Amino acid sequence: MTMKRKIECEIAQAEGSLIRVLGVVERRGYKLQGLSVMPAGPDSYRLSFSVESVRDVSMLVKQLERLFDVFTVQLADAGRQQPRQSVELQQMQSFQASWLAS
Amino acid sequence: MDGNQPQSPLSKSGARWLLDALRDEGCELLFGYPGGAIMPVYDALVDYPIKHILVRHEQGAALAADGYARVSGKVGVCMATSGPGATNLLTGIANAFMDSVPMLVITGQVATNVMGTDAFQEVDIFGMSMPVVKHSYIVRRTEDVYAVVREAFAIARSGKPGPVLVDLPKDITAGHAVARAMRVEHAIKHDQCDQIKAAKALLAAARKPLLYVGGGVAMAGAEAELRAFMQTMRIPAVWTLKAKGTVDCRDPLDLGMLGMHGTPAANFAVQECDLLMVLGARFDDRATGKISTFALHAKVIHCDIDAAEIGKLRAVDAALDERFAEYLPELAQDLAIDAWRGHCAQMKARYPERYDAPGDKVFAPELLRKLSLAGGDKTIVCSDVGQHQMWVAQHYQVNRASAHLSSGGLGTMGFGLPAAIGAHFAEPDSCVICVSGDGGIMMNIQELATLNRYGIPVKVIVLDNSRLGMVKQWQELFFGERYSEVDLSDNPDFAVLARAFGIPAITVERRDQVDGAIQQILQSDGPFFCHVKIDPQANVWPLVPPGKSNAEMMGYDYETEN
Repeated sequence: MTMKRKIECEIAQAEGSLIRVLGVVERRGYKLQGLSVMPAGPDSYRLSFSVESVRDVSMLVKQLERLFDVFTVQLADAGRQQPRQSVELQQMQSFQASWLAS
Repeated sequence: MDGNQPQSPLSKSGARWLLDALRDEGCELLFGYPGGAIMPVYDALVDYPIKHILVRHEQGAALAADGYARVSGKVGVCMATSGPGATNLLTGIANAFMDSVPMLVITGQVATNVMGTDAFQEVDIFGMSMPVVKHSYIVRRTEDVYAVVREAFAIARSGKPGPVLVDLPKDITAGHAVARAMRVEHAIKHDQCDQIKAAKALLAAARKPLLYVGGGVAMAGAEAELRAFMQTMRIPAVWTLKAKGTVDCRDPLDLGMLGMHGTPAANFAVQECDLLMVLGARFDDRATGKISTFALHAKVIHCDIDAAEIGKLRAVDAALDERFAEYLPELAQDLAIDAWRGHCAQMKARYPERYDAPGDKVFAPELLRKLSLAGGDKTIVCSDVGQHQMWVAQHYQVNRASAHLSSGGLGTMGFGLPAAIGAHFAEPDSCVICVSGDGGIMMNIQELATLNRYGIPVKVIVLDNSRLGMVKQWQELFFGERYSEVDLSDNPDFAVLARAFGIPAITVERRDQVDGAIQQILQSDGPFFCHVKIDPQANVWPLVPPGKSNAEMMGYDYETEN
């Protein structure tokens, strides 16, 4: 059965980030039904879009969460948690800090 | 290009920032091919102690970097120029993406002021590669080069590994700047699934538990922990193509590969089990057959590094992540499953491999089994794609995952030879054997020149049935024997061809020549080429027809045999 759901995400204002997100939406088998893009801060966009698919939309959310340009993904009508920051992120930040210091 | 005067003592060219980043990442080796837009990097490379392997086609560079990464566990690095150099890398990038291989891909690009004008050798490789990279960058400022490349390495090897592309316009690598850190705003994402209690209870309740082992186990460095878990728990195991070697092949509870060309014991055990513990595998269709009929009676524990795999194709009862070493000991418990263990061992014994093919033509499965027994533990086998790939998977015994390289997800013909070159540089003391077919070898035959150039002692074995065997097999079985464009009987004389590249070569035509040829292959010092004419009628058995259940193996009647 086809389901229509709304997804909101915050993504980096990085080259290709919007195409990357929309590419995953289409390649993973979801039909884009509407889209708005607004700057959310100096380095990020807020994306809001609806998708239609026979596939479970929670799988699309997981696929979008894998993208490095995607900061947060939420099903607009379900309030999904933001992805946790990981140990690797902390390591990355401390690497950056030590590199800046050197 | 280094002629421009630096503005500050800390200022360097973008090319040097790139190579500094490679050096600081511990990268000692890259595979590449020069050209116009990447020339500033090749100019700077002269001053760096990084070994560059010049391949003869950019696809060879990407696949060699892939093979290097698979064996070494490090990030493989490949480099090419803009335009056709970059597009030639694409198949190799996709190959690494599908098999989750960590790779850094460096492409030259036309200068930023002409990007978007259809300049000479301009293509949008950033856009073209987007669906097959883990992440990618176009670097627009020289000061960002160093931080971007360091971040690209981190992303390539973190979490579920994959290829990361860095596109470097010529003015960025030629220009000078002081390096500036990029803000780290991209989380290296890592979801954690933590349902150990649920998994433990599922195991306790199971009467017919089965392990379904994928490539993720070895990639997580958990081969030893998995083997210890199997030793303690005595749960039977089946494995995927990419996990070949992960499970101890001498264990009577190793039921073999599952799926389209899997063993009857593996496929039947999957159909009968009441609990399937999936470790670092993703329910690929070649492994599951018709998914709606796969392991129908089983509850599922899915252990994977990638949260997007959990529930993608099969609902799960418990989910765990890839920290196998941490939780496998915790899951250990006594299981009252003796009847099941006995049944699985019996099924395995009931369907042994057979090497008693009639006639005097070379029977490829027998040759491969003999070769693996003669080669022992210090060999690495790289297969190409086709019938021989499945024969290697079925008959060539390896006892560690990194000793078997195969293009699983993408199924890239032409993978074998360049991947073997990469494997050699990752483990120079191992004997690397490339098993290819007469179709696959011609897809990257030019890399024989690379073998010769560097004296790379890869042993190439071409199993020649003078046709595209796997396609022929499908036409025979599923297209009413209407053979279409599979005849390769006008192949070149491969031994003569190899010698033209400077590589010693022999041809084997009869079964009684096989033992001598194996000795010659293994005793040769440098590169060696063995052309083997095999029985053109031989097919890969068993076979689950596409779209069918794994219980429907051609040649085996599941209902009556069980």
